[in-house]
Amino acid sequence: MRSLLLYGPLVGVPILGVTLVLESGRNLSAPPNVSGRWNLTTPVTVDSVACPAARGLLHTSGLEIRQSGAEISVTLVGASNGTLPGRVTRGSDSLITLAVATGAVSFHAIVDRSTTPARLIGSAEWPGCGAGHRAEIVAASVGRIGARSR
Amino acid sequence: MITLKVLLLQVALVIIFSRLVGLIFRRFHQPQVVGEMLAGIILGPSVLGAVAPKLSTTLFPASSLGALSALSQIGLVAFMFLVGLELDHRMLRGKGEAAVLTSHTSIVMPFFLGSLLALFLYPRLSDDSVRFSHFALFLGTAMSVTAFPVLARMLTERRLLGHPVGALALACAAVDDVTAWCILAGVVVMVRASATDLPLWITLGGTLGYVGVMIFGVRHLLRPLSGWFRTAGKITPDLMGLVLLLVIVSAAITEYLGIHALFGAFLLGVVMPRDKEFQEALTARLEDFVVLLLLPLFFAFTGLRTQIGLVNGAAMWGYCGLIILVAVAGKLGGTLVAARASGSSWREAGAVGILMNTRGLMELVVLNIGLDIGVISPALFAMMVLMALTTTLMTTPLLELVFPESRPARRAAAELAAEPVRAS
Repeated sequence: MRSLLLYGPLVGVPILGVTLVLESGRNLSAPPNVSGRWNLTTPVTVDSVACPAARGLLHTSGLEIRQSGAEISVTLVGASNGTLPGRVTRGSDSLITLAVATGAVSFHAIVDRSTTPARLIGSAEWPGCGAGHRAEIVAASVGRIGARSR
Repeated sequence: MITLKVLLLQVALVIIFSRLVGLIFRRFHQPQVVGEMLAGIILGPSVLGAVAPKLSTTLFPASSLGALSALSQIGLVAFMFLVGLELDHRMLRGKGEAAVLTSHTSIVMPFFLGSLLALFLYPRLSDDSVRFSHFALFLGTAMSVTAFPVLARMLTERRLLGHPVGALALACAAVDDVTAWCILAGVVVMVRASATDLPLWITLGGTLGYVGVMIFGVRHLLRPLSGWFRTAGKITPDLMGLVLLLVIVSAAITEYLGIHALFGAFLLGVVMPRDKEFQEALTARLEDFVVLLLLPLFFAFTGLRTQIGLVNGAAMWGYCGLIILVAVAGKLGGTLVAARASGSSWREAGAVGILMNTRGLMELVVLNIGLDIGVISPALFAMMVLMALTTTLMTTPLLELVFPESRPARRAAAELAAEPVRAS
């Protein structure tokens, strides 16, 4: 009998709590999704003789972006630069800014999610190479951005 | 393209490493599975990848992960079949009001706290491709899981199965896991329905229909299997082949329906004939191959996906600490309160709570599903893996502290002292 009386507060109240949580979280927003594979649509041109650090970008076929919240990690597919940490911020519903900066390279891009496929337009610079060494990067998403596989 | 020699090398490496690390942990009275979980993380980007990246890339090139994933999924399918097979329906009913209250509280309390935590974590660790409701429900489910198989083994080793504490913990864990899997199936359906072209009514209706057919139809059709076993006196190759085929077919059906293959395997295990000798013979034929060869591959694959390096900075480690705190408070705390309120002593209630807090392998299975369907991010996955490891690691020392009767040596000594003196 005692257990039956306790059932309400111990089981019923948390269940009610879950429904309240789901209701109150309805309007919560999370950072915009840019994760996934982005294939380059135009070849990257950069003077790799004057700026050897940029050499890795010449061999890349695209970007692989992993995201946790506003933190992203960008991997140049096929390059040996490793993974670059960065952040994503929302400019508007469809335009999102990516910012990646390490000591060796900085990369900024705008993602337009209003097109299908989504487009990424950005540029990479290498501080160690001095001014003027810049590469334009244009890529398209593979699959729907935000739609995970399976 | 992955070559066979790379795959064989990986398998050999994983087995050796898992056994070695598991052996070390067994010396400290920790379950083998803790060592295997840690072995997987060590082989992944968090340790080997950070310390020796070139060696890590050579041993586990990105192109090889597909084959490793496939093998580990097959191992999981077989393992979940064994979990369903071992589930004793009698544990799920007739245990009295106290057990019902404790088991239901041990689910809803961590579920509620997990979903509450989602309010804080969603804007920080998720993104707008995931709905808050899916995120919160998944987090709640992940918090409410208990490692039923690990718990069963722990209780067997410590000879606590016959003790009221052990019996209550096992019954609660059985109820917890069945409920958690049902909720997880629902979450998977919701997430996939919003991401794929498969209509929701097919997934939902198909799943409910399939569960009904299995429980009310297939279960009766499978009864002759135990008869064939008894006639032959053993599991014949034909019988084993038939069972394996049924496992694969059931897993394929639920995978096609849009939930996960694991549910189909688990469900088939549940509806197999409840003939103890038949179950034990079947388990004996499969267990070694699954537990010694395929499951370590799953742990390795999980470790290869776990990037503890993503948990960087005070804020991220703070989130990780919060996840562990909420997990423990919900499961251990919730179970303790319910068991105490139902009449157990503080010590016994504490012991049940500590046992229920073990998350182990089942948590990793749930987390991998979450990562696969995209409802949790890689950083949150890493944090939750750390939570699974921590809560499983803490079980043995806490249990021996709070419930010294659980120590194997002490129980053996007590039983020996209780035996009548034999005349020489």
